[in-house]
Amino acid sequence: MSDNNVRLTREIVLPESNLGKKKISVGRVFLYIGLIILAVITFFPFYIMIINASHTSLEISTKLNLLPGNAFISNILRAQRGQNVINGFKNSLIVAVSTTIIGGYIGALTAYGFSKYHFPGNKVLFWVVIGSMMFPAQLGLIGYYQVCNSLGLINNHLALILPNSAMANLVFFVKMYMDSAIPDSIIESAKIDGCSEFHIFNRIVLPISIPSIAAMCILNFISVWNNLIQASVVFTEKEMYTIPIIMQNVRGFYRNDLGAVYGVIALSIIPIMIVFAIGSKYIIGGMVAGSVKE
Amino acid sequence: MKLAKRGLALLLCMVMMLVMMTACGKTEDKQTDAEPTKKEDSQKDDTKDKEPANDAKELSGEITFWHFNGDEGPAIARAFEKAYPGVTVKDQITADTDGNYQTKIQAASRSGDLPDVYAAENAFVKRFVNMPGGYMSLSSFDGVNDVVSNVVPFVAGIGTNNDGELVALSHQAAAGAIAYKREMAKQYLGTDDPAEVGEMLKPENMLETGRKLKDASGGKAKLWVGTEELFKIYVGSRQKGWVENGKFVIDERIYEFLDIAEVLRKENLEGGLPQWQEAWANSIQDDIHMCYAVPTWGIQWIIDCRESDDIMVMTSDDHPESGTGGRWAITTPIPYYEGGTWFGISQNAKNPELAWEFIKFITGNEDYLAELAEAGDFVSNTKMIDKFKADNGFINKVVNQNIYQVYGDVADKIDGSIITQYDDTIKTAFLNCMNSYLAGEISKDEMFVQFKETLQSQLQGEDIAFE
Amino acid sequence: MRSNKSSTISRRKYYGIMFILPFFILLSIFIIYPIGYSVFLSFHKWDGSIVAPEFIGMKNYIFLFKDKLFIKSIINTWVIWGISFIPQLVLSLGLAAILSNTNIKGKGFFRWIYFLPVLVTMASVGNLVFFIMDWKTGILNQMLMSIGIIQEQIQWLEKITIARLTISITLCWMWFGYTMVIFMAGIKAIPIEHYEAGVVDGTNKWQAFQYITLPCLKPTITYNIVTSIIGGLTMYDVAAVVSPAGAPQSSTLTMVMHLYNLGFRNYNVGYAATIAMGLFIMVMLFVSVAYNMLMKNTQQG
Repeated sequence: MSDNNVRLTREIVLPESNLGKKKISVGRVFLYIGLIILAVITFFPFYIMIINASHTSLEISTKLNLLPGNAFISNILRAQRGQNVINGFKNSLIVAVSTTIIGGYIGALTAYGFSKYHFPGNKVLFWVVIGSMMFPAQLGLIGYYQVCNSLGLINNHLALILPNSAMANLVFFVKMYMDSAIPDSIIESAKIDGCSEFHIFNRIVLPISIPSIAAMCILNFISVWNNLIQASVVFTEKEMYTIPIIMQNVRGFYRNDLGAVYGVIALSIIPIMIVFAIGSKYIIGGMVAGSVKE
Repeated sequence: MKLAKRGLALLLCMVMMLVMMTACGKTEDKQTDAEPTKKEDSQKDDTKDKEPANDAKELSGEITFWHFNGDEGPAIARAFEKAYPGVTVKDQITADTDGNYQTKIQAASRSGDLPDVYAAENAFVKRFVNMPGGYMSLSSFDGVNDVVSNVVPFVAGIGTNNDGELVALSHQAAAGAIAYKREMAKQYLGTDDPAEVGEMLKPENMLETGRKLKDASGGKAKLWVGTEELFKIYVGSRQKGWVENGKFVIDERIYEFLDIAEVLRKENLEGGLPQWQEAWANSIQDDIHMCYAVPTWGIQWIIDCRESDDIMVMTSDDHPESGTGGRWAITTPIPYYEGGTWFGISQNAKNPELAWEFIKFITGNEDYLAELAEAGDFVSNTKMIDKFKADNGFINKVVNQNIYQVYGDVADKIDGSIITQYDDTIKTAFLNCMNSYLAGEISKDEMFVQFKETLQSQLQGEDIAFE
Repeated sequence: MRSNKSSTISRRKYYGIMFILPFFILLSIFIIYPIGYSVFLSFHKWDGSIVAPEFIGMKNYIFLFKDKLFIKSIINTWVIWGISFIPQLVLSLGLAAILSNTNIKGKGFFRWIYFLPVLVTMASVGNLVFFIMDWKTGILNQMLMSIGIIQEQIQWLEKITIARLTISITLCWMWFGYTMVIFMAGIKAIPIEHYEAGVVDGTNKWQAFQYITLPCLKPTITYNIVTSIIGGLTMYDVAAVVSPAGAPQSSTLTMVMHLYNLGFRNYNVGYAATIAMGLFIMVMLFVSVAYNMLMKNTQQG
C-alpha cells in the first residue's frame, strides 16, 4: 500500500475530512488557532536566539531584539579571533556524525537482538541497558577519564565517539518498536527463504525500524553535539576543542561577550537543523510504507 | 536492497574518515610530545649548577600553560614569548564554568599529565595550593628568596600551602577600593575628592551618606549598585576566618554588614544588582548607581571595558584607549582584597626550569611589569609598587589618580592568613540566604539556620564543627 | 521439522548474543566500569587528588539519610519534574495524534516548529529567563508596572513557587516537541489494519484514539515516561541555568546539582558518589514500578 493510501485510510476513521471542502467546523478553527498560538510561543525563544546572534553584546543585554541586526559577521570574527571556531566545528562534526552512524547501527543491531532472540539473560541484560541510563553523566566522569587515559584516548576523537555510541535510549526505544512493528512471521518467512541472520537484519528489519532509529538518532546527535562535560575533560589540546568548549571560552572571563557566544550558537545550530531535517523525513517519510504488510 | 547497500557504503566512508581523523589526531599528539626541550634539565634537584637566568636571550624551550581566563591568559603567554624569542608557550584556555577547569586540572593531576604552569583563581587558589600532586614547592628553585622578598606579603601568603611551602605566586596584588562616579559625588554630595568621599563611606557614616544622596537626587541615585559589593568589602576586612580550629565562626563584621545591608535595602539606598550580571554591567555607564567595590584589576575589567558603547571590543590583543578621562575615582576607607590569579609549577612539569623562569618573569621582570602598570594593572612586585607610588605623574586615566598611591597603602594591611579553601562555598551560601532574607521571604533567624544547614551539607566530611 | 526448529532456535540464540555484543562491550568499558567505580567510591572519602581514597564504610550513607539538603533536593526534583511532565505528556500526545491522523494543513510546518526548542542551548535559555524574570530589569516586572498592577518590582525568582514553575515551564517547553516526535514514530508503527477494522465497526475519531491509538502506543508512552523520569531525576542544566547563583532557599536545587556541588566544587567525591547511588536506587525503583504498571497487559503485534 502506498503512503497515500495509508493516510487516506487513517482519515476515513475521522469523519471531518469527509464533510467536504465547503464546511469548516468551528472546532477546526479553534484547533488551528491553538496550533498557531502554540507555534508562536514555541518559536519565539528560538527566534530570539538566532536574532541575537546578529546584534552586539550591548544590544543583547539591554533590549529585546526582534529584527535582525548587522553585527553577525563582527561577532563571528571576534569569536574566531579568540578561539578557533572553524576547527571546533570540524571536531564537533567528526564526533557527532561518527557517533550517530556507529551508534545508530550498533544500537539497532542490539535492539534486534533483544527483541527477536530469546537467549538466556535477555530480560536481565535489557534491564542493565535501562539501568545504565539512570546514571548522571557527572559522576561517571572520574571513571570515564580513568578509562580513556588507560586506553590512551585522551585528545582523541574516539574518547567521545566510543562511549556515546552505546546509546541505551535507542536500544530501549527501538526494541519496543521492533516488538510491535515487526511480526515474527516476517522473520520466519525470510528464514524459510534461506536468508542469513545478518541479511534479515540489514534488508528487512532495518528498513522497517528506520523511523524509530531516526527519532533516537536525532536526539543523540544533538546531545553528542552539545556534550560539554566529557569533552572538556578529555580534550586538553586546543586543536581538539569542540564547539561547546569554544562557546564557553568565547564568553570571556570578565567580559561576558554575549555577541560572540550567540554567534557561535547560531553557527552550531545549523548542522543540528540539517540532521533534524533529514531525520524527520525518515521518521514520517515513506521509507516504512506498507511493504511489510504484504 | 539499494538502501542497505548505500547505507553500508556511507557507513564505511564515515568509518574511513574517522580512522583518518583519529590517525591525524594521534600524529599531532606524537609531534608535540617529541618537541625537544633544549635545556639540559634532567636533574630537578640540582638547580645550583645551572647558568644564571639573567642571560635573558639565551632562554629557549617550550612550556605548557593552562589558564581559565581568556581575557588575560594568552596575553601573559605572548609577553613571555616576546621577551625571550627562543621560548614557545603552549597556552590552553578552559573556562571554569561549572568548575570545568578545576575538574580538568584534577583529572590531569591523577594521570600525571599536568602542564608545566597552570593558573589558580582566588576562589579556588587555596584548594589548588593544597592539592596533593598539584603544584611543586618553589623553595628549591634558584633565586626564590629574592623573588619572595619583592612580592607583596599577602600574595605570597596565599600561595603557601598548609605545610608552609610556597607553591604559587601572582603577578598582581588584588587590593580593593571603592570606586565612585565623580559626577554623582560632586552633584549630590558636594565633593568628588577621594579623601572626603572616603570619609563619608566609612561604616559609621555610610547610611547617612546614602540618605543624603537619595534626598539630593530626589530618590533617583543609589549609593551602592548592590549589596554584594559591600559584602566583599566586609568579608575582606574581617579579623577571623570562617573556620578557626575546626570550628565554624562568623566574624562580627558579617553581622555589621547584615545590619547595614538591611537598612540599605529597606530604604532603597542600593540598586540590588548582583555582580557580573548584564544589568550590573550596564549600570557602569548610568548616573544612578554611585559606588562599586573595585579591586585593582577592576579598573580595567569592571570599569574601563564597559565605558564605551562598544562594550565587548576589548580582547587580549587590544586595549581600548585608556581615555575615559577620570569619570571615576577610587578611595579606600576600608582595606580589603578580592580576586587575583596565582600561578605555580606542577609536580610533573616537563620543563620546570623554564617554568620557573616564567614565574620569575611575571613577578619580577621590570619591563613586563611596567607594561602591565601602564595598562592599569597593580603588580605585586614591591619594588615596582614603590617606584610608581613615588611617581606623582603616573596617573591612571580611568580614575585620574595614581592607583599605586591609593592601593599601595592598602596592600600592606591585608592579612591573607584568614583565607580558607571553603571561602567560596561559604560566600555563595551566605549570599543566597541573605538574598532570600532581604527579599522578605524568610526571617533573619531562618536565614542563619538555612545558612548553617547548607554548609553542614556542602562541607560534609571536612571535619568542621557547627554549633 | 522439530529437530530443525530446535537447532534453529539454539543457533538463533547464539546470533542474539552476537548481535548485542558490540554494544555491551562499549557499555561495559565506558559506562558500567565508571558506575562500578562510583559505587566503590561511595564507601570512601576522597578529594579527587592522587592521594588514595580512604575507606570509611557506611559513613557516607549514614550522612545521606541525615542530609537536609539532599532531602530538599529530592523534593525539589520531583516537584519540578512532575509539574513539567504531566502537561508535557498530554500536550505532546494530543499534538502527535492531531498531526498524524487528521487532515490539518501545514502538518510538516507545525511538526518542525514544535521540535525547535529541543535545539535551543542552555546558554540562551538562561539569558532569556533572566531577561524576563529579573528583579530590576526584567520585562515581566516592567510590563506589570507599566500596566499598574504592581507598584514596585517583585523579586520573582526569590519566590519558591515561581522559581520552580519557571524551570518546569522551561522543561516542558523544551521537550514537548521531542516527545511528540516520538509519539508520531510510534503512531506510524500502528498497523493500518487496526484503523481499517475501526472503519468497518463505524468508530469515530475519539473512539479510534481511545481504543486503537492509545493501547498500541503503550510501549511508546512507556518509553516516554521512563526516559522522562530518568531525565527529570537527573536534571541539572536547566535548573542550574535558571538559578545560577544557587537556589532561592535551596528550593530549586536538584539532586544532581547537589551531587555536582559536592563532587566538583567541594572536592568531596566520595559523598557525591553516595548521592549518585541514592539517586540511582530511587530512579531504578520508580522506573521499574512505572514500567511494570504500563507494560502489564501489552500484547505483541
